[in-house]
Amino acid sequence: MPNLNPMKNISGYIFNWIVLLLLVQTVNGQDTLRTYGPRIGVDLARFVYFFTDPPETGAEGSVDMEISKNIFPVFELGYSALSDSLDDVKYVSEGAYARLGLDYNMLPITDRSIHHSITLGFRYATSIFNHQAENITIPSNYWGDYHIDTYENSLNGHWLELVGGIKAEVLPNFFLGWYVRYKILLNPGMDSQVTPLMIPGYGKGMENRVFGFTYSISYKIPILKR
Amino acid sequence: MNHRLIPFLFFITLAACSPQDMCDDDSQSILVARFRTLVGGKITDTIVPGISIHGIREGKSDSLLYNSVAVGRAELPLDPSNDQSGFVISTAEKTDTLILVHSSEAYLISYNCGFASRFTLEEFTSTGGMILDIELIKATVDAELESNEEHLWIYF
Repeated sequence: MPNLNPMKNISGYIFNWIVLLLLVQTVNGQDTLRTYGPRIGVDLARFVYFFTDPPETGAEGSVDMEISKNIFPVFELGYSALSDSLDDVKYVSEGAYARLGLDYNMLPITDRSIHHSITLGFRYATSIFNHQAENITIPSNYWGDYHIDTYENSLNGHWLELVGGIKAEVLPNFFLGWYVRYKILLNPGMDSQVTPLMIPGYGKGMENRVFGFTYSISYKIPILKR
Repeated sequence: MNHRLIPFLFFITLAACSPQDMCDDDSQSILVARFRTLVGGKITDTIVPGISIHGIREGKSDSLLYNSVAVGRAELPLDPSNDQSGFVISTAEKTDTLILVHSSEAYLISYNCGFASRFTLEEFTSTGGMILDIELIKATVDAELESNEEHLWIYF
């Protein structure tokens, strides 16, 4: 009988991850020393956006570090560029973004040598970007159409993110993980003339609330073991 | 196909659909002028009989917006290519010229509907004597006209 409830599938997937993490914890738990150091990551989901319509190019990296029990300050930095043609208008949006925040590990640490985590957290994010529209036509049946060659503006977007995710140590100091992000745009009217089609790091500028997803591979530089 | 899948697929499809902008075929910016008059010391709305209105278009022939009709208000398109729009308003007895001075900027209605001009009325004058007074109600004129939106009251 087919499973008709997608939410059951998603929660089942998460449950399987939790069971896996707990099992790994049980099997490998011999060493009580915990490794500390900055963890540097790259977002692999960015490469998927290259195949969307319109294609979006970019890259994103992150640094986080466990500074005290269950607390991970995080810094993320990225770049995005998008080009699209809407009827006769050519539109481009490109720029950089940065996020700063904190993750809290919800997974109980029963063995200090196990570094898996299930986290909830938040981010403050900002983007500095430029967007441009070319070959604009203002229609006027009575007076005659009015043509504008180029509209361009440099903008600064701000938003907050609520973030939940998993990181699993698949090899010593190597992690795979994902985040689901709920983003809230703080300055939706940043351009009174042309709403940005894409805000780097955020998504569609016409939406005041969006969801996002990142999937990362990261490496923790083992500086300290205690 | 299991028949219990059908409502599930229907709702998933519905949820996947994002609302599309409904666009007017004509995304022009229209100024709305209501006609008013003073009767017995009281200001009232009025209908002007036999009114004709055309825009002053350089290099083009006159084209009537209103042709000898009885109306209580007029919808006048503003010129996105210039910083003023001129209209000739006439009845059987009198004629007047209405000059509207404005600034404008292009803005995006939506990515489905395209661009339009947003005007800001700065000055308005009449030259012929038929129009007694003009009162500014709303200075901003854009392509998203509300049903009861008005920009000028013209007194005859």
